[in-house]
Parts: sequence; C-alpha cells; structure tokens
Amino acid sequence: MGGGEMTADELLAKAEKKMTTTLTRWKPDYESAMLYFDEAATKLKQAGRKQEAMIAWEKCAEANERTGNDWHAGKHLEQCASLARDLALHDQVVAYAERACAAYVSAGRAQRGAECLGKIARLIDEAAPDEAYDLASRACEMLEDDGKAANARDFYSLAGAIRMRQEKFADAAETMLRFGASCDAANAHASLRKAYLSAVVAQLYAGNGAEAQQLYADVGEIDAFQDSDEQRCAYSLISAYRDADADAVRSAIAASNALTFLDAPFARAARKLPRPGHDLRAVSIAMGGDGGVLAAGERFMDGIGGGGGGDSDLPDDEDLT
Amino acid sequence: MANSADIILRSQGLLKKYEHYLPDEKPMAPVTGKVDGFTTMFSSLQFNLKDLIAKAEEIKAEKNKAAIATANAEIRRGKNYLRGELPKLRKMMEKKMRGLTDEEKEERVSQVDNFEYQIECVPDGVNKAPPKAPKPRGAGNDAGGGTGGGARRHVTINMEDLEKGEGVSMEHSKESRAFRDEFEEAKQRQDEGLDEISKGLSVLKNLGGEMDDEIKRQTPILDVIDEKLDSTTSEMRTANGKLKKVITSMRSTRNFCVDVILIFLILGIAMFFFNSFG
Repeated sequence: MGGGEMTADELLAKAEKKMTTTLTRWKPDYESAMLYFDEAATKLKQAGRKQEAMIAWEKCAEANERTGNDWHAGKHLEQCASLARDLALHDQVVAYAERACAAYVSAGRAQRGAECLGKIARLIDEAAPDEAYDLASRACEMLEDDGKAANARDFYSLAGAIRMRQEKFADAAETMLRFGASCDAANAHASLRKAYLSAVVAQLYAGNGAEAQQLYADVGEIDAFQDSDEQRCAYSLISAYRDADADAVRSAIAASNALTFLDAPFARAARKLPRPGHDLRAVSIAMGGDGGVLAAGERFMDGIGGGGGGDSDLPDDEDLT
Repeated sequence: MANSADIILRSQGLLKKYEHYLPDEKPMAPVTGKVDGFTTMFSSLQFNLKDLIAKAEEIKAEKNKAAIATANAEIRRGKNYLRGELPKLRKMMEKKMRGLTDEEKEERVSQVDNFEYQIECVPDGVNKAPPKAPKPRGAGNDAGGGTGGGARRHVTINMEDLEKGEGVSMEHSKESRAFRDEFEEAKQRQDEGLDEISKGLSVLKNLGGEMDDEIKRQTPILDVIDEKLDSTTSEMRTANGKLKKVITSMRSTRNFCVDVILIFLILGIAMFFFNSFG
C-alpha cells in the first residue's frame, strides 16, 4: 500500500479506481480507497490545494461510512469543515459539521459529535456568527440530553460571547439563563452564580431594567445563588437602577469583585454601566421605581409651573413663605 | 449502542422522509372563513400563543427553580414579541377591511382584542415589586467588633460609637493631636492592606470555585477511564494467558527433546549411508 512516491493526483486516481467494480473485483475496495484518499488529501493540503483536499477527504469519509467506520468518517468530515472555513465557504462548513456530528452519533459517540459542533462553531464565530451560535446551541442541547451538561460550559460561554459581540443583549441574557439551568443540573455552583450575574448585566446593558429585575426575582430563589457575592452585586446594581442613581451604579461596580471574574464580554459590559445613551429615569419607572431624585425634582417644578393642578403632594403657595 | 442523540437524529430523518404523510396541522381557523393576509398573520400569531400557553402549563409542574427561571424568561420574550406584532396585526386588519360586512369587521376587531387579552393572561412570573434584598453577611456585627466567649454573650465594640462619644471633658493637646493623626494614618494603611487582602481572597475564592466545578466535571470522566482500564487489564491478562499457552505448545521441553533425538537419528542414518557407500 506504499504510496510514498506517488503524487497526490496519482493517489486520487488510484483511489477512484478502488471505489469502482471491475471484472476481477466485484465489490469496491473501500479500505484501500480510504487510505489512498487520506494520503492524497494530506499531500494536497500541504501543497495548498485546499479545495481538492476537501473533496478528497469527503470521499474518504464516504468510503469510511460504507465500511461502517463512522468514527473515522467523522474525523475526516471535521477536516473538511476546517478546510471549508479556510476557504470561507460557511454554508459548507455548517453542512460538514452536521454530517460529522451525525457520523459520530452513529458511531455511538454523541458527546464527541456535540464537541465537534462546538469546535467548528468556535472556528466560524467571527465570520458567521448566527451559524456559529446555532451550532454552539445545538452542541449544548446534545450534551444536556446526553446527561453531560458539565461539558457544555465552554459552548455556552462561546454562545453568550457571540451574542454580546452581535449586540443582541437580550439573547445573550437568555443564553446565560440557559447556562445557569445547565450548571444547576451539573451542580456547578460557581459557574451558575456567574451565569446569572452575567444575565443581569446583559439586560441592564441593553437598558431592560424591568427584565433584569424580573430575572433577579426568578433566580434569587435558587439555593446556589442565594447569599452569594454575585447575588449581592446583582441586587445593588438593580437597586441603583431602580433609584435611577448613576453614582450608585458606579460605586456598586467599583465595590464588587464578582464582576471582574465574569467572562470577558460581560465584564467589559459591566464596567461601562450605566451606558450614557440610557434614560435612567425611564428605566427606573419601568422597573416600578419613582424615577429617582431628578424625576422628583421635575415633578415638583411641574407642579409649581402648572398652578392649580390640585395635587395634594405639592405645597400650597402659603407654605412657600 | 443507542443514545438519545442517535435516537433524535434518526427520528428526525424518518420524519423528514415521511413528512408528506403527516396531516396538515391547521392552527385555529378564523371564524369569518375568508382567507386573506390578516387571517394568515393572525393564525400564525395564534400558533405562537398556543406554544407559549403550553410552555406556561409545563412550568406549573416544574420544581427546579433554574428551569422555571429559564422558562419564564422565554415566555416573557415570546409575549414581548407578540406584543410587538399586535400593532402590525391591527394595521393589517385596517388594510384588509375592504369588502367585509360590518359584522365581519366587528368580529375581527373583537378577535384581535381577545387575542391581546389572552397574551396578557399568560403567566410569566412578573411582578413589579422591589427586588428582594439578599440576607446580610454574617451575624451583623460592625467592623472592628469582637465576639464574646460564651454561647449567649456577645461583646461588640462599635467603633463609630467610640469615635462619636469622645470624652466630653477631654481637651486636645499637641501630643494627643499628633497621636490622633498617627492613629488615623495607621488605620488608613490598615484599611488599604485589608482591601488588598480582600481582593486577593476574592481571587482565591473564585479560583476555588472554578476548581470545584472542574473537579466535578472530571470526576465522572475519571470513573469512566477507571472502568475502561479495568476491562482492558482483564483482557490483557486473558490475551497473555492464551499467548503463553500457544508458545508452550509450540516450544515445550518435551518437543525440543524429541526434535533433538530425531535430528541425531537422521544424522546417524546419514553417517551410516555415507560410510557404507563412501
């Protein structure tokens, strides 16, 4: 089987021949074809002919599937996916990733399939973020279904980072919530606390104070989150937003170390709170607060300017003396 | 060797293959019977609402708080989406009013209003109450306090009270002021030192938490490795035993002696023939 001196094209030709039947050979010789394709693809990749290497590996994977060698088929399809990513063919990357995952699952290695999806999601996270997010989410779901939620941590972080980079903060918060639920299943308490704090930070960064408050109310009952630094930090941030007090927000961020230990996108977002473009008063009112000191002052001024508004809270003219 | 991912993939493949045999699932059909852009949009939104209601029903039976939190967030998101779509639905309704009787127009308006009410009725755990404060840290002693020896007695030294209640009849002299300043400086340095220690401790705490999670993740992996190594060891032992048997049967001492005797016999016969004809 020594093809050491043959060129890649010769190896390809030999491999193609092995895949067909002849008079002397009534069944295709998939094992030899597989070896020839593998060697040819390696040489083509070294020569920089990535498109052809990708096709060679795909055929190698096909030969593997025919012989029932799904594990190796999955590995070769992963190689195809990484070459497709080098060639910037994102649709093909996703297609190869799915095929590789299906091959691993047929080989009885669902965890490996999920990790393959996650690995490929990481490769395309900047070039094709939506597809990468879908792959990462599916990887997490597969691992959770298989009872291996503990291994989904990296993929959840990746999914959250993708959404933060895309500035889809509500989606990022939801991803972190799912991450928290996954950590709860895996008894990973430290990660759970960080996940929930990240979700609160993401919602506040998006200006959804009411949603952040509701999120805090929902997760505040969870045992692993109660009485933690992360819960205290979340409470102080939400209270500061409810009071529409920008200084209180900044001092809560400065006083808390928990925010520095979050994943990079969330830690960076937390440092920028409160965002200059946000109307703290409106957020506070949406949260059920009173809009803060400035709002109270404005109401007072409106009351004086409006005259006989009949509002019992406003002082009468006699009282101003 | 079946696993859940394998089953899910295969069932998806089967569903795709036999899709055209499935009955068409029509969401709640509109009463008017006239199909236009409004009815299509309305039925797809009703489909979404049905999903949300089903999710809310599932939560009621759920005991895991983390799962409830996640599901509530998804329901709130779904409701916000539907609320965002309502103005578009109303606009579509206005556009498609032509050619309808007054009764049908009223019917549509009441359907949309009813739909809005149904959206708001879906429970999502929302309340605008102020957030629940976390429990205070420790037993609530102030900084600088000490605890007493016995089980019931707690001696606390409240630094703020000490600072407030300086001796009324005391007057500052130069030395006492200098001592006071030195004391304040030392206190500040101590505070800075304590802050540094606190930061270091929080880093250590974070590391400890991460290590705990990582160990919890790797423990089942190590168990699996342990099992597999045990089975590999027993297989190796079996293989070694078989190999030993095979080698013994090929190269036993008895066979070796028989081989040597036969060789001598053949040599003897060869010598005899050589001598007799030589």
